[in-house]
Amino acid sequence: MLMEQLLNTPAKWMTTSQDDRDIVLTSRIRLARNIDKTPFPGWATRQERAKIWEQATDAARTLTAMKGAYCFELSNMEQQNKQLLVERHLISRELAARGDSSGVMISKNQQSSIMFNEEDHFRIQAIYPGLQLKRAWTGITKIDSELESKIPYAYNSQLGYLTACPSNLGTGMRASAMLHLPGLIITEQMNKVMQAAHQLNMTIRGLYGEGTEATGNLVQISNQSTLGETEPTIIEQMNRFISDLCHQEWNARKQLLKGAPLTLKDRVGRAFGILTNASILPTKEALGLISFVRLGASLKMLDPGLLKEINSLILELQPAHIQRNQSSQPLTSETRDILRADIVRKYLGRFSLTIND
Amino acid sequence: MNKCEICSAPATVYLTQIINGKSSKYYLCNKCAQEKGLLDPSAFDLAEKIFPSLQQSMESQDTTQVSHQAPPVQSLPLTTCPVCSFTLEKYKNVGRLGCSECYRVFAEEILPIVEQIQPAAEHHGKKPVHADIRETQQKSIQQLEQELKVAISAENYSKAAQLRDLIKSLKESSQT
Repeated sequence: MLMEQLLNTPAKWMTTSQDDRDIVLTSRIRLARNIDKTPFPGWATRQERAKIWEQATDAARTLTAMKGAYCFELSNMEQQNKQLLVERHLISRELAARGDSSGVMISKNQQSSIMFNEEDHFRIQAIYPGLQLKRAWTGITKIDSELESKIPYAYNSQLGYLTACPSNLGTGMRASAMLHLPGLIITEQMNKVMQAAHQLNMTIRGLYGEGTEATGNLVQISNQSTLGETEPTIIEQMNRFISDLCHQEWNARKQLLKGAPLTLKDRVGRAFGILTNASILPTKEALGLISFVRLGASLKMLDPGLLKEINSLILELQPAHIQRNQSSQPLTSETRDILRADIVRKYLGRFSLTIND
Repeated sequence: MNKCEICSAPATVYLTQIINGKSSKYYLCNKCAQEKGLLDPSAFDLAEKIFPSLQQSMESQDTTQVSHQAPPVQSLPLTTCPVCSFTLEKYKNVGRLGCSECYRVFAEEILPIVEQIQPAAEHHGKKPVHADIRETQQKSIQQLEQELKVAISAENYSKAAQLRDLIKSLKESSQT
Protein backbone atom coordinates (compact mmCIF):
# COMPACT_ATOMS: atom_id res chain seq x y z
CA MET A 1 0.00 0.00 0.00
CA LEU A 2 1.12 3.52 -0.87
CA MET A 3 0.00 4.78 2.51
CA GLU A 4 2.09 2.16 4.29
CA GLN A 5 5.12 3.12 2.25
CA LEU A 6 4.66 6.77 3.13
CA LEU A 7 4.15 6.10 6.82
CA ASN A 8 7.12 3.76 7.05
CA THR A 9 9.49 6.42 5.77
CA PRO A 10 9.16 9.61 7.77
CA ALA A 11 10.60 12.64 5.97
CA LYS A 12 14.17 13.72 6.60
CA TRP A 13 13.04 17.18 7.67
CA MET A 14 11.01 15.50 10.39
CA THR A 15 13.68 13.34 11.91
CA THR A 16 17.01 15.07 11.41
CA SER A 17 18.22 18.21 13.11
CA GLN A 18 19.86 21.12 11.25
CA ASP A 19 20.38 23.31 14.28
CA ASP A 20 23.32 22.51 16.59
CA ARG A 21 21.76 24.47 19.39
CA ASP A 22 18.46 22.65 18.97
CA ILE A 23 16.36 25.82 18.68
CA VAL A 24 14.81 25.98 15.18
CA LEU A 25 13.28 22.61 14.32
CA THR A 26 11.60 23.28 10.98
CA SER A 27 10.74 26.06 8.53
CA ARG A 28 7.53 25.93 6.59
CA ILE A 29 5.76 28.02 3.95
CA ARG A 30 2.25 27.55 2.64
CA LEU A 31 0.49 29.33 -0.19
CA ALA A 32 -3.28 29.63 -0.56
CA ARG A 33 -4.42 29.52 -4.20
CA ASN A 34 -7.81 29.28 -5.88
CA ILE A 35 -9.34 28.67 -9.28
CA ASP A 36 -10.84 31.79 -10.87
CA LYS A 37 -14.64 32.21 -10.72
CA THR A 38 -15.18 28.86 -9.02
CA PRO A 39 -16.94 28.48 -5.65
CA PHE A 40 -14.51 28.14 -2.74
CA PRO A 41 -14.61 24.65 -1.12
CA GLY A 42 -16.66 25.81 1.87
CA TRP A 43 -19.43 27.15 -0.40
CA ALA A 44 -19.21 24.71 -3.35
CA THR A 45 -21.79 21.94 -3.73
CA ARG A 46 -20.73 18.31 -3.57
CA GLN A 47 -20.71 18.04 -7.36
CA GLU A 48 -18.72 21.24 -7.72
CA ARG A 49 -16.18 20.02 -5.18
CA ALA A 50 -15.82 16.75 -7.10
CA LYS A 51 -15.15 18.71 -10.30
CA ILE A 52 -12.58 20.90 -8.53
CA TRP A 53 -10.86 17.77 -7.14
CA GLU A 54 -10.56 16.37 -10.70
CA GLN A 55 -9.25 19.60 -12.21
CA ALA A 56 -6.88 20.30 -9.30
CA THR A 57 -5.35 16.85 -8.96
CA ASP A 58 -5.01 16.44 -12.75
CA ALA A 59 -2.99 19.64 -12.88
CA ALA A 60 -0.95 18.86 -9.76
CA ARG A 61 -0.01 15.39 -10.99
CA THR A 62 1.87 16.91 -13.92
CA LEU A 63 4.08 19.10 -11.71
CA THR A 64 7.81 18.35 -11.73
CA ALA A 65 7.93 18.34 -7.94
CA MET A 66 5.09 15.82 -7.79
CA LYS A 67 6.65 13.07 -9.90
CA GLY A 68 5.87 9.80 -8.16
CA ALA A 69 3.92 11.66 -5.47
CA TYR A 70 1.44 10.11 -3.06
CA CYS A 71 -2.16 11.22 -3.47
CA PHE A 72 -4.99 10.48 -1.05
CA GLU A 73 -8.63 11.45 -1.02
CA LEU A 74 -9.88 11.80 2.54
CA SER A 75 -13.05 9.78 2.07
CA ASN A 76 -10.85 6.76 1.26
CA MET A 77 -8.67 7.17 4.32
CA GLU A 78 -8.96 5.57 7.71
CA GLN A 79 -9.39 7.95 10.61
CA GLN A 80 -6.12 6.81 12.13
CA ASN A 81 -4.11 7.52 8.99
CA LYS A 82 -5.55 11.02 8.80
CA GLN A 83 -4.42 11.57 12.36
CA LEU A 84 -0.94 10.26 11.49
CA LEU A 85 -0.59 12.78 8.68
CA VAL A 86 -1.71 15.57 11.04
CA GLU A 87 0.91 14.52 13.58
CA ARG A 88 3.51 14.63 10.82
CA HIS A 89 2.38 18.14 9.82
CA LEU A 90 1.64 16.89 6.30
CA ILE A 91 -2.05 17.86 6.47
CA SER A 92 -3.92 20.35 8.64
CA ARG A 93 -6.44 19.41 11.28
CA GLU A 94 -8.97 21.32 9.24
CA LEU A 95 -8.38 19.14 6.18
CA ALA A 96 -8.60 15.98 8.29
CA ALA A 97 -12.08 17.06 9.38
CA ARG A 98 -13.32 17.34 5.78
CA GLY A 99 -14.77 14.58 3.64
CA ASP A 100 -15.59 13.98 -0.04
CA SER A 101 -13.29 15.46 -2.68
CA SER A 102 -10.81 16.83 -0.18
CA GLY A 103 -7.35 15.38 0.00
CA VAL A 104 -3.63 15.75 -0.31
CA MET A 105 -0.74 15.12 -2.67
CA ILE A 106 2.62 14.57 -1.00
CA SER A 107 5.89 14.67 -2.94
CA LYS A 108 8.10 11.60 -2.82
CA ASN A 109 10.62 13.23 -0.47
CA GLN A 110 7.72 14.66 1.60
CA GLN A 111 9.26 18.11 1.34
CA SER A 112 6.27 19.56 -0.45
CA SER A 113 2.58 18.81 -0.39
CA ILE A 114 -0.62 20.22 -1.81
CA MET A 115 -3.90 20.06 0.06
CA PHE A 116 -7.01 20.17 -2.14
CA ASN A 117 -10.37 21.59 -1.11
CA GLU A 118 -9.27 22.63 2.35
CA GLU A 119 -10.37 26.21 3.04
CA ASP A 120 -9.02 27.12 -0.42
CA HIS A 121 -8.82 25.04 -3.60
CA PHE A 122 -5.05 24.69 -3.19
CA ARG A 123 -2.86 24.91 -0.14
CA ILE A 124 0.72 24.37 -1.31
CA GLN A 125 3.22 23.61 1.41
CA ALA A 126 7.01 23.21 1.67
CA ILE A 127 8.89 22.17 4.83
CA TYR A 128 12.65 22.19 5.50
CA PRO A 129 14.63 21.34 8.65
CA GLY A 130 16.22 24.20 10.62
CA LEU A 131 15.90 27.87 9.72
CA GLN A 132 15.56 27.72 5.93
CA LEU A 133 12.64 29.98 5.07
CA LYS A 134 14.43 31.44 2.05
CA ARG A 135 15.06 28.00 0.63
CA ALA A 136 11.46 27.02 1.32
CA TRP A 137 10.31 30.10 -0.62
CA THR A 138 12.57 29.29 -3.59
CA GLY A 139 11.16 25.77 -3.64
CA ILE A 140 7.51 26.65 -3.25
CA THR A 141 7.40 29.56 -5.70
CA LYS A 142 8.66 27.23 -8.42
CA ILE A 143 5.83 24.76 -7.75
CA ASP A 144 3.34 27.63 -7.64
CA SER A 145 4.47 29.12 -10.98
CA GLU A 146 4.29 25.74 -12.65
CA LEU A 147 0.80 25.15 -11.29
CA GLU A 148 -0.26 28.59 -12.49
CA SER A 149 0.57 27.64 -16.07
CA LYS A 150 -2.09 24.91 -15.79
CA ILE A 151 -4.77 26.51 -13.60
CA PRO A 152 -6.44 29.91 -14.09
CA TYR A 153 -5.72 31.42 -10.68
CA ALA A 154 -8.10 33.74 -8.88
CA TYR A 155 -6.16 36.98 -8.76
CA ASN A 156 -6.54 40.71 -9.17
CA SER A 157 -3.86 43.35 -9.15
CA GLN A 158 -5.23 45.22 -6.16
CA LEU A 159 -5.95 42.38 -3.74
CA GLY A 160 -3.45 39.85 -5.08
CA TYR A 161 -4.33 36.16 -4.80
CA LEU A 162 -8.02 35.89 -3.89
CA THR A 163 -8.73 33.53 -0.99
CA ALA A 164 -11.84 32.28 0.80
CA CYS A 165 -10.90 34.24 3.92
CA PRO A 166 -9.84 37.90 3.52
CA SER A 167 -7.10 37.31 6.12
CA ASN A 168 -5.09 35.42 3.45
CA LEU A 169 -5.50 37.94 0.60
CA GLY A 170 -2.47 39.28 -1.20
CA THR A 171 0.41 36.86 -1.10
CA GLY A 172 -1.74 34.05 0.33
CA MET A 173 1.46 33.16 2.14
CA ARG A 174 1.94 31.91 5.67
CA ALA A 175 5.59 31.37 6.58
CA SER A 176 6.31 29.72 9.89
CA ALA A 177 9.08 28.18 11.93
CA MET A 178 8.88 25.75 14.82
CA LEU A 179 11.11 26.66 17.74
CA HIS A 180 12.15 25.04 20.99
CA LEU A 181 12.36 27.85 23.57
CA PRO A 182 12.87 26.37 27.06
CA GLY A 183 15.33 29.10 28.10
CA LEU A 184 13.00 32.00 27.34
CA ILE A 185 9.99 30.19 28.84
CA ILE A 186 11.76 29.20 32.09
CA THR A 187 13.22 32.68 32.55
CA GLU A 188 9.73 34.09 31.93
CA GLN A 189 10.63 36.22 28.96
CA MET A 190 7.86 35.01 26.66
CA ASN A 191 5.55 37.97 27.28
CA LYS A 192 8.24 40.27 26.01
CA VAL A 193 8.78 38.01 23.00
CA MET A 194 5.05 37.88 22.24
CA GLN A 195 4.81 41.66 22.34
CA ALA A 196 7.78 42.09 20.03
CA ALA A 197 6.30 39.53 17.64
CA HIS A 198 2.95 41.30 17.67
CA GLN A 199 4.56 44.61 16.79
CA LEU A 200 6.26 42.99 13.82
CA ASN A 201 2.97 41.48 12.64
CA MET A 202 3.87 37.96 13.67
CA THR A 203 2.03 35.48 15.85
CA ILE A 204 3.27 32.81 18.22
CA ARG A 205 1.24 29.65 18.76
CA GLY A 206 1.56 26.10 20.06
CA LEU A 207 2.89 22.95 18.41
CA TYR A 208 -0.12 22.10 16.25
CA GLY A 209 -1.16 25.59 15.20
CA GLU A 210 -4.17 27.64 16.07
CA GLY A 211 -5.62 27.07 19.51
CA THR A 212 -2.95 24.67 20.71
CA GLU A 213 -0.65 25.34 23.65
CA ALA A 214 3.13 25.39 23.82
CA THR A 215 3.51 21.80 25.04
CA GLY A 216 7.14 20.81 25.48
CA ASN A 217 8.21 24.46 25.13
CA LEU A 218 7.65 24.17 21.38
CA VAL A 219 6.14 27.17 19.61
CA GLN A 220 5.26 28.15 16.05
CA ILE A 221 6.03 31.64 14.80
CA SER A 222 4.27 32.87 11.68
CA ASN A 223 3.51 36.06 9.78
CA GLN A 224 0.12 37.53 10.59
CA SER A 225 -0.66 39.67 7.56
CA THR A 226 -0.49 38.78 3.91
CA LEU A 227 -1.39 41.98 2.05
CA GLY A 228 0.91 44.88 1.26
CA GLU A 229 4.39 43.43 1.37
CA THR A 230 6.32 41.18 -0.98
CA GLU A 231 7.05 37.59 -0.02
CA PRO A 232 10.84 38.09 0.21
CA THR A 233 10.30 41.11 2.49
CA ILE A 234 8.07 39.14 4.83
CA ILE A 235 10.55 36.25 4.87
CA GLU A 236 13.47 38.57 5.50
CA GLN A 237 11.65 40.14 8.48
CA MET A 238 10.88 36.73 9.90
CA ASN A 239 14.44 35.55 9.39
CA ARG A 240 15.76 38.54 11.28
CA PHE A 241 13.26 38.11 14.12
CA ILE A 242 13.89 34.39 14.45
CA SER A 243 17.69 34.75 14.32
CA ASP A 244 17.40 37.36 17.03
CA LEU A 245 15.17 35.05 19.05
CA CYS A 246 17.69 32.21 18.71
CA HIS A 247 20.34 34.52 20.07
CA GLN A 248 18.14 35.46 23.04
CA GLU A 249 17.21 31.84 23.68
CA TRP A 250 20.85 30.82 23.73
CA ASN A 251 21.66 33.65 26.12
CA ALA A 252 18.81 32.59 28.39
CA ARG A 253 20.14 29.02 28.46
CA LYS A 254 23.66 30.20 29.29
CA GLN A 255 22.24 32.49 31.93
CA LEU A 256 20.43 29.53 33.51
CA LEU A 257 23.63 27.48 33.46
CA LYS A 258 25.63 30.30 35.00
CA GLY A 259 23.07 31.72 37.42
CA ALA A 260 21.51 28.55 38.81
CA PRO A 261 23.67 25.61 37.74
CA LEU A 262 22.50 23.37 40.55
CA THR A 263 18.80 23.99 39.95
CA LEU A 264 19.29 23.37 36.24
CA LYS A 265 21.26 20.17 36.86
CA ASP A 266 18.57 19.04 39.24
CA ARG A 267 15.74 19.69 36.74
CA VAL A 268 17.57 18.01 33.85
CA GLY A 269 18.59 15.05 36.01
CA ARG A 270 15.08 14.57 37.36
CA ALA A 271 13.58 14.76 33.88
CA PHE A 272 16.07 12.18 32.61
CA GLY A 273 15.42 10.01 35.65
CA ILE A 274 11.66 9.98 35.20
CA LEU A 275 11.83 9.43 31.45
CA THR A 276 14.20 6.46 31.80
CA ASN A 277 12.24 4.87 34.64
CA ALA A 278 8.57 5.72 34.26
CA SER A 279 6.07 3.00 33.32
CA ILE A 280 3.11 5.27 32.56
CA LEU A 281 3.71 8.43 30.56
CA PRO A 282 0.99 10.79 29.25
CA THR A 283 1.92 12.84 26.12
CA LYS A 284 1.98 16.20 27.81
CA GLU A 285 4.19 15.05 30.67
CA ALA A 286 6.54 13.29 28.27
CA LEU A 287 6.92 16.37 26.06
CA GLY A 288 7.51 18.62 29.07
CA LEU A 289 10.25 16.37 30.44
CA ILE A 290 11.85 15.79 27.04
CA SER A 291 12.19 19.56 26.71
CA PHE A 292 14.45 19.54 29.82
CA VAL A 293 16.48 16.65 28.44
CA ARG A 294 16.93 18.57 25.16
CA LEU A 295 17.95 21.64 27.12
CA GLY A 296 20.51 19.61 29.10
CA ALA A 297 21.90 18.00 25.96
CA SER A 298 22.24 21.32 24.13
CA LEU A 299 24.30 22.59 27.07
CA LYS A 300 26.32 19.36 27.02
CA MET A 301 25.09 18.33 30.47
CA LEU A 302 23.81 15.19 28.74
CA ASP A 303 25.24 13.43 25.69
CA PRO A 304 24.43 15.87 22.80
CA GLY A 305 24.16 12.80 20.58
CA LEU A 306 20.66 12.23 21.89
CA LEU A 307 19.47 15.35 20.03
CA LYS A 308 20.15 13.75 16.68
CA GLU A 309 16.94 11.77 16.52
CA ILE A 310 14.97 13.44 19.28
CA ASN A 311 12.49 14.85 16.74
CA SER A 312 11.60 11.40 15.51
CA LEU A 313 11.10 10.33 19.14
CA ILE A 314 8.66 13.22 19.60
CA LEU A 315 6.79 11.99 16.55
CA GLU A 316 6.64 8.42 17.82
CA LEU A 317 5.05 9.60 21.09
CA GLN A 318 1.97 11.06 19.43
CA PRO A 319 -1.25 9.07 19.94
CA ALA A 320 -1.81 7.95 16.33
CA HIS A 321 1.84 6.92 15.96
CA ILE A 322 1.61 4.71 19.05
CA GLN A 323 -1.63 3.20 17.82
CA ARG A 324 -0.07 2.50 14.42
CA ASN A 325 2.52 0.07 15.77
CA GLN A 326 -0.12 -1.96 17.59
CA SER A 327 -2.84 -4.35 16.48
CA SER A 328 -5.88 -2.90 14.78
CA GLN A 329 -7.73 -2.76 18.09
CA PRO A 330 -8.12 0.85 19.25
CA LEU A 331 -6.04 1.50 22.34
CA THR A 332 -7.28 3.26 25.44
CA SER A 333 -5.32 6.32 26.47
CA GLU A 334 -4.07 4.39 29.55
CA THR A 335 -2.58 1.68 27.31
CA ARG A 336 -1.02 4.34 25.12
CA ASP A 337 0.60 5.92 28.17
CA ILE A 338 2.21 2.58 29.04
CA LEU A 339 3.45 2.03 25.47
CA ARG A 340 4.74 5.60 25.37
CA ALA A 341 6.80 5.00 28.50
CA ASP A 342 8.33 1.92 26.80
CA ILE A 343 9.29 3.88 23.68
CA VAL A 344 10.92 6.68 25.69
CA ARG A 345 12.82 4.25 27.96
CA LYS A 346 14.18 2.42 24.92
CA TYR A 347 15.30 5.60 23.21
CA LEU A 348 16.88 7.36 26.18
CA GLY A 349 18.20 4.15 27.75
CA ARG A 350 20.98 4.18 25.16
CA PHE A 351 22.40 7.35 26.69
CA SER A 352 23.97 7.80 30.07
CA LEU A 353 23.68 10.61 32.54
CA THR A 354 26.99 12.46 32.58
CA ILE A 355 25.57 15.32 34.51
CA ASN A 356 27.84 15.28 37.56
CA ASP A 357 31.09 14.54 35.79
CA MET B 1 -21.05 62.90 0.67
CA ASN B 2 -22.99 61.40 -2.22
CA LYS B 3 -26.19 63.06 -3.36
CA CYS B 4 -29.57 61.41 -3.86
CA GLU B 5 -29.89 60.52 -7.52
CA ILE B 6 -33.58 61.60 -7.58
CA CYS B 7 -33.71 64.86 -5.64
CA SER B 8 -30.01 65.69 -4.96
CA ALA B 9 -30.48 65.82 -1.19
CA PRO B 10 -27.66 64.19 0.82
CA ALA B 11 -27.88 60.44 0.24
CA THR B 12 -28.26 58.20 3.28
CA VAL B 13 -29.38 54.99 1.56
CA TYR B 14 -27.07 53.15 -0.74
CA LEU B 15 -28.12 50.28 -2.94
CA THR B 16 -26.46 47.76 -5.21
CA GLN B 17 -28.56 46.03 -7.81
CA ILE B 18 -27.44 43.16 -9.97
CA ILE B 19 -29.02 42.55 -13.32
CA ASN B 20 -27.57 39.93 -15.68
CA GLY B 21 -24.34 39.91 -13.72
CA LYS B 22 -23.82 43.67 -14.03
CA SER B 23 -23.98 45.64 -10.83
CA SER B 24 -25.39 49.15 -10.67
CA LYS B 25 -25.16 51.39 -7.65
CA TYR B 26 -27.70 53.89 -6.41
CA TYR B 27 -27.51 56.63 -3.84
CA LEU B 28 -30.82 57.79 -2.38
CA CYS B 29 -32.01 60.07 0.39
CA ASN B 30 -34.36 58.71 3.02
CA LYS B 31 -37.40 60.42 1.56
CA CYS B 32 -36.94 59.10 -1.98
CA ALA B 33 -36.03 55.64 -0.71
CA GLN B 34 -39.31 55.63 1.21
CA GLU B 35 -41.31 56.79 -1.76
CA LYS B 36 -39.79 54.01 -3.83
CA GLY B 37 -40.90 51.58 -1.16
CA LEU B 38 -37.37 50.53 -0.32
CA LEU B 39 -37.85 51.22 3.36
CA ASP B 40 -41.07 49.26 3.54
CA PRO B 41 -41.08 47.67 7.01
CA SER B 42 -41.70 44.17 5.68
CA ALA B 43 -38.70 44.40 3.41
CA PHE B 44 -36.74 46.06 6.12
CA ASP B 45 -35.90 42.93 8.11
CA LEU B 46 -34.04 41.48 5.21
CA ALA B 47 -32.42 44.73 4.23
CA GLU B 48 -31.07 45.67 7.62
CA LYS B 49 -28.97 42.56 7.79
CA ILE B 50 -27.24 43.60 4.64
CA PHE B 51 -27.15 47.31 5.31
CA PRO B 52 -26.95 47.92 9.04
CA SER B 53 -26.62 51.65 8.39
CA LEU B 54 -30.14 51.57 7.01
CA GLN B 55 -31.51 50.66 10.39
CA GLN B 56 -29.77 53.58 12.04
CA SER B 57 -31.12 56.06 9.52
CA MET B 58 -34.63 54.67 10.07
CA GLU B 59 -34.37 54.96 13.80
CA SER B 60 -33.17 58.53 13.71
CA GLN B 61 -36.12 59.76 11.73
CA ASP B 62 -39.70 60.41 12.76
CA THR B 63 -41.53 57.18 12.04
CA THR B 64 -44.90 58.89 11.62
CA GLN B 65 -43.59 60.18 8.32
CA VAL B 66 -43.47 56.72 6.84
CA SER B 67 -45.87 56.73 4.00
CA HIS B 68 -48.37 53.91 4.26
CA GLN B 69 -49.23 54.38 0.63
CA ALA B 70 -45.79 53.18 -0.36
CA PRO B 71 -46.13 50.54 -3.05
CA PRO B 72 -45.38 47.00 -1.91
CA VAL B 73 -41.88 45.90 -2.75
CA GLN B 74 -41.87 43.47 -5.65
CA SER B 75 -38.33 42.27 -5.29
CA LEU B 76 -35.83 43.75 -2.94
CA PRO B 77 -32.55 44.33 -4.76
CA LEU B 78 -30.52 41.77 -2.83
CA THR B 79 -26.82 41.65 -3.37
CA THR B 80 -26.06 38.19 -4.69
CA CYS B 81 -22.93 37.04 -6.47
CA PRO B 82 -23.86 36.22 -10.09
CA VAL B 83 -21.21 33.50 -10.26
CA CYS B 84 -21.85 31.55 -7.07
CA SER B 85 -25.10 33.00 -5.57
CA PHE B 86 -23.32 33.89 -2.34
CA THR B 87 -24.82 36.69 -0.24
CA LEU B 88 -23.19 39.15 2.12
CA GLU B 89 -25.42 37.93 4.89
CA LYS B 90 -23.61 34.58 4.67
CA TYR B 91 -20.26 36.27 5.01
CA LYS B 92 -21.38 37.74 8.31
CA ASN B 93 -22.00 34.22 9.60
CA VAL B 94 -19.00 32.34 8.29
CA GLY B 95 -16.31 34.95 7.62
CA ARG B 96 -15.47 33.38 4.25
CA LEU B 97 -16.55 34.46 0.77
CA GLY B 98 -18.25 32.33 -1.87
CA CYS B 99 -15.83 32.65 -4.81
CA SER B 100 -13.21 34.98 -6.28
CA GLU B 101 -15.88 37.02 -8.06
CA CYS B 102 -17.46 37.90 -4.68
CA TYR B 103 -14.56 40.27 -4.03
CA ARG B 104 -15.69 42.35 -7.03
CA VAL B 105 -19.43 42.09 -6.40
CA PHE B 106 -19.17 42.96 -2.68
CA ALA B 107 -16.18 45.30 -3.05
CA GLU B 108 -17.91 48.19 -1.27
CA GLU B 109 -18.58 46.09 1.81
CA ILE B 110 -15.53 43.81 1.83
CA LEU B 111 -12.76 46.36 1.22
CA PRO B 112 -13.32 48.15 4.56
CA ILE B 113 -13.08 44.75 6.29
CA VAL B 114 -9.86 43.98 4.43
CA GLU B 115 -8.44 47.30 5.55
CA GLN B 116 -9.26 46.42 9.14
CA ILE B 117 -7.55 43.05 9.17
CA GLN B 118 -4.63 43.76 6.84
CA PRO B 119 -1.99 46.47 7.28
CA ALA B 120 -2.36 47.64 3.68
CA ALA B 121 -4.94 47.47 0.89
CA GLU B 122 -2.67 46.97 -2.09
CA HIS B 123 -0.87 43.78 -3.14
CA HIS B 124 2.86 44.13 -3.80
CA GLY B 125 3.87 40.50 -3.93
CA LYS B 126 4.18 37.87 -6.61
CA LYS B 127 2.14 38.34 -9.78
CA PRO B 128 0.90 35.25 -11.57
CA VAL B 129 1.94 35.70 -15.22
CA HIS B 130 -1.19 34.31 -16.81
CA ALA B 131 -3.77 35.91 -14.53
CA ASP B 132 -2.03 39.23 -14.99
CA ILE B 133 -2.33 39.00 -18.78
CA ARG B 134 -5.97 37.93 -18.43
CA GLU B 135 -6.74 40.93 -16.26
CA THR B 136 -5.14 43.35 -18.72
CA GLN B 137 -7.14 41.78 -21.56
CA GLN B 138 -10.39 42.09 -19.63
CA LYS B 139 -9.65 45.72 -18.88
CA SER B 140 -9.01 46.51 -22.52
CA ILE B 141 -12.22 44.71 -23.53
CA GLN B 142 -14.16 46.84 -21.06
CA GLN B 143 -12.54 49.94 -22.46
CA LEU B 144 -13.39 48.96 -26.05
CA GLU B 145 -16.99 48.25 -25.06
CA GLN B 146 -17.17 51.77 -23.68
CA GLU B 147 -15.83 53.13 -26.98
CA LEU B 148 -18.38 51.03 -28.83
CA LYS B 149 -21.22 52.62 -26.86
CA VAL B 150 -19.89 56.07 -27.71
CA ALA B 151 -19.57 55.18 -31.39
CA ILE B 152 -23.15 53.89 -31.51
CA SER B 153 -24.60 56.93 -29.79
CA ALA B 154 -22.63 59.13 -32.21
CA GLU B 155 -24.06 57.02 -35.04
CA ASN B 156 -20.56 56.25 -36.26
CA TYR B 157 -21.55 52.82 -37.45
CA SER B 158 -18.46 51.89 -39.42
CA LYS B 159 -16.30 52.46 -36.34
CA ALA B 160 -18.85 50.59 -34.22
CA ALA B 161 -18.65 47.58 -36.52
CA GLN B 162 -14.87 47.58 -36.34
CA LEU B 163 -14.95 47.78 -32.56
CA ARG B 164 -17.55 45.02 -32.35
CA ASP B 165 -15.35 42.67 -34.39
CA LEU B 166 -12.28 43.54 -32.35
CA ILE B 167 -14.09 42.87 -29.04
CA LYS B 168 -15.40 39.60 -30.39
CA SER B 169 -11.96 38.37 -31.41
CA LEU B 170 -10.42 39.48 -28.11
CA LYS B 171 -13.09 37.65 -26.15
CA GLU B 172 -12.54 34.50 -28.16
CA SER B 173 -8.78 34.58 -27.74
CA SER B 174 -9.05 35.17 -23.99
CA GLN B 175 -11.21 32.09 -23.63
CA THR B 176 -8.75 29.76 -25.27
